[in-house]
Amino acid sequence: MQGNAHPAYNTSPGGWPPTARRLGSAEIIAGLERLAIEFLPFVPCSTAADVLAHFRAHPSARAFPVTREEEGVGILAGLTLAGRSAALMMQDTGFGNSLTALTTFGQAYHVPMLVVATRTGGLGEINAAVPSYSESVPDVLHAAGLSLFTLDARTPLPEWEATLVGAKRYAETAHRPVIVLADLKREAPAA
Amino acid sequence: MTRLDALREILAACPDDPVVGTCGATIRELASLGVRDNCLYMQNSMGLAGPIGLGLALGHAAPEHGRVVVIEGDGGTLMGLSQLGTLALLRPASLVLAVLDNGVHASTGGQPTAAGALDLAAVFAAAGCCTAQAEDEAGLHAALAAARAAPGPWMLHVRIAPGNAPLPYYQEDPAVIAQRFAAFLAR
Repeated sequence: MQGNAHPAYNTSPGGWPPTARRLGSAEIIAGLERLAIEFLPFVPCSTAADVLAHFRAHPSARAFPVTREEEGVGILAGLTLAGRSAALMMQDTGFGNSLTALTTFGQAYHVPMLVVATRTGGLGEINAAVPSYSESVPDVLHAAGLSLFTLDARTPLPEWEATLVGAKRYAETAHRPVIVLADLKREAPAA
Repeated sequence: MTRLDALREILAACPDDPVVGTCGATIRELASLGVRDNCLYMQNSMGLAGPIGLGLALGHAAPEHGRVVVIEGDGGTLMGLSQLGTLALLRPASLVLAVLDNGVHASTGGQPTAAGALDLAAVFAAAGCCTAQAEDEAGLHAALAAARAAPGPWMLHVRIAPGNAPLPYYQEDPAVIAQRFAAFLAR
């Protein structure tokens, strides 16, 4: 994010100091805005709540819920084929549902679409059921031949927006779906 | 009415509309009628034709009375039924979902689907779709005309006979199919 602090820094209860989640969320918002996202289908995630709230109230982007992740991949593919700027937001747990759609349609048909998936499992996870699956998500995606980039609290903040924008550009250059895995679980102060 | 009969009617009624054809025997029969720029032939991804059509209907700037047509089977419709809530929420006016219902998974050997156990048209009507029923070519012709005349989303419940036309696999490169279709949309 460039310039003054994004309003998202102050939109969550608690105010300052900014948390890693809030800083990352602001960067995702900045990246999607720089991509002039017109449509943002989403399957919700608690860690992405700030991002989703921002786009739900956005004057020019249309953010709407989808029921399942593979359905979101299909809708995103249709929007992308129609030449619209769009992204799907979901949790990484939803790749189990959507891997067939991503590979047999997105990948096989060379649809340059952007999926932003929030990370579950690992540091900061509060759900006992997801770690075994979630920790293997990057390996699963790699094994399926899907392109992905990762963002977490160790990623320098200026890289977040640049990665999102670059991921979409890469999807168009390489003619394939691209996934950005964003870990927004850490709520500890960033400094 | 066979599937091929139904596909002929749909293609004749929608020569300049984007058409998404579901996987299996449906795209084989669709392609046998001539490979067209306005058709997206899905070679796999069962259940995804509806959501793709929903995205197209949201994003494609169709001309007045232009439509986005999805050709789905009863099995694929049930597999992709999660779209129902999203469809009810967004209700894109240009979307026409033609469900060719033969009561079986014809492409995989004729195993029964569960479609006979529920009223598919009523399900989509409950989601805010306009609906029409067709059991022969004349009925389908009329249903397609109705879907052209009034804003949707529309769900056309089309009864067809079980079985497939004996045709070879359709194996065009999916990337070529998508590129041709996207170029058609960008005209």
